Amino acid sequence: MGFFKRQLPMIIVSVVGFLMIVSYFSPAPFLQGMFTGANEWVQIIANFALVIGVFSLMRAHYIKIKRKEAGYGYSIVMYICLIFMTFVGLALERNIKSGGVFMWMFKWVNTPLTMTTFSLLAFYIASAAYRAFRARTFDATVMLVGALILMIGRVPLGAMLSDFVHQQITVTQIIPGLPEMAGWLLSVPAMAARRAIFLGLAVGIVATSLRILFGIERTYMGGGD
Amino acid sequence: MSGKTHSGKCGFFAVSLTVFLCIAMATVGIGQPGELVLPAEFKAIDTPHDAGKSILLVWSRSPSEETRADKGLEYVIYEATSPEGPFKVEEKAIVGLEDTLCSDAPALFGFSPRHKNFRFVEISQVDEETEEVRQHWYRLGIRDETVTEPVMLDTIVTAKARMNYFMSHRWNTLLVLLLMAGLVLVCIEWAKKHPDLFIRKIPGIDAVDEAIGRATEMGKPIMYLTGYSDIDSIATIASINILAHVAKKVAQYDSRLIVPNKWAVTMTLTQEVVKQAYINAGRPDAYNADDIFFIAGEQFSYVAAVDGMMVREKPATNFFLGSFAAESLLLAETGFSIGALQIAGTDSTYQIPFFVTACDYCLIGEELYAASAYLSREPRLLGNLKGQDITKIILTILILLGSVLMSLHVFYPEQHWLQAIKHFFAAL
Repeated sequence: MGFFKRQLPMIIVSVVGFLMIVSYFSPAPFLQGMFTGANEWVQIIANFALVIGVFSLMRAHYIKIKRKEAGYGYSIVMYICLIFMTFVGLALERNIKSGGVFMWMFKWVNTPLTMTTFSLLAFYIASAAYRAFRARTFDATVMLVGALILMIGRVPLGAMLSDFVHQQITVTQIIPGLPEMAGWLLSVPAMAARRAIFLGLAVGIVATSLRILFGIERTYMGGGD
Repeated sequence: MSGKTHSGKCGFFAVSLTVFLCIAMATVGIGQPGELVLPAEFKAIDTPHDAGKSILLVWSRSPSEETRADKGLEYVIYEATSPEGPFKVEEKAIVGLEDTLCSDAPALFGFSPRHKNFRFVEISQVDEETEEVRQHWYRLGIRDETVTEPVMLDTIVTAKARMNYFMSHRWNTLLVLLLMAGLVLVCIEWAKKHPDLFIRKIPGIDAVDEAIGRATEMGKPIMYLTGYSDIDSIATIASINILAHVAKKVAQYDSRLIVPNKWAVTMTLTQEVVKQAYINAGRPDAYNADDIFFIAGEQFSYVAAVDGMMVREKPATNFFLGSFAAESLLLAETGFSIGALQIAGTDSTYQIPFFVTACDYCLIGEELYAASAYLSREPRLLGNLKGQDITKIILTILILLGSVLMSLHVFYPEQHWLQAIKHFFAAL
């Protein structure tokens, strides 16, 4: 039993993983075919798993309704929507098209709801920025100054302000304008930091992959420590 | 007298007209295809490191490119199924003067100062109807807007498309991969003999115990999110590895763990991992599969559901570990608003500033991948971490060296070996 639960999945992961690496270095049709096939398998497995996921969702909301937990009314709404969309999609409209009820619901109910959630980000950014840019420490002050230059420098107002100051006070012409400063901040210090993180990430990804392929890391299989 | 004068005038007019026409024709080039100079060299070669489905046609640049570039000069490839012809124009094989220099494709031709004098085009040898690879013969023509028919080169070329089993232009990647794999294996062996390896402190991971303890004391649950990506992302796998350790601690502390999932495959995996962690902690009875569930594959539906759950359940601790996109701040700010202690880590550089701002601890970059080894303290995993660090040092040295050599290339542009080094780093 241990073999089927531990060793066999490990062997499958290692063999398939190494073949995937080899397929990166070889254009041989059987390897490329296997690579494409493996990706298709992922899609197929994901679709089967979706059925399990939907049942999990239904069960979680059923429990909420049964126990009358806080906000269980939303669970009823979820059930109504799930049943309605499934009925429309499977029974009423076998071929889903743009003028139908299914797509209408998707376009005029689902999309505005998701966009509403997304638009909350603007307010959250403002509140997070307020906290981050309070100049309490030297680091926070540097960040605040950098952010101000960047925000003003990336809009037309920044260029207008810089031009105005350069024209009025000639000596300031030796100082770059706000757009140039913003561009420098993005392309030099910010880019350097991002590339350093990218390098660490790339090495981390390869090291983690090697751990998995060599069977050193088995935690993701439920193996524990 | 007058007739003589008349004929003299006519003669002068005729000569003037002829001279004018000659100048005009020479300028415009009408009817003078001979002025288009044909390439001196034209050859066909197999496309390196492909699956034997195409060939490359390579020819030297015509001197007319210098004089007639503004007249829409282009090369025309003619194809035939036999050397005898008939040759017909391939629609895809009309080659302009942009982006077709051999020097622009070092992956195919390597580095040589000669390559900037040659152009190329890749031609598929696969029959569209039968999908079989068939050999073809080619001729090269040259034309511009001043001629009606292209001027043809007599040379007929062909090449056989061969299967290449190794993509030779990726040798540098293979080299680094083998180097890293070797280092990792050596370091693992070394770590087995020297288990007390020094690993620098990672505050975000050190805070895991504190975060779980806090939730236990407050009698509130812990929420763990594995991120936006499915199980095919390494960041998600790294997150699930950390989840196993967190779940074990949660089981030991007798607290409650909630894991809402965006993907069904991730859900099944997290259920299995958490269940095993509870068994390992000796608390299989405390495991509740209903706390690990699927929400929605759609990004903002997932966010809305998780945010709602946070507001209702008020978890004492939130873990955001994995790949995150636009939802990062929506989740982290909601968690902040309910006063949860938050530990985040992501491989998305765009989301790191949001997590740094809104969370108490943030794992930056490779710390996410190191967390599992850091938590387990298992010598083999720590050895892997050391191998990773050494590789990073080697890569940093190589980058510094590459930067110096590239700077030297500015002063010594004729040194093409410097350019070859640039290619090595660019293709890495």
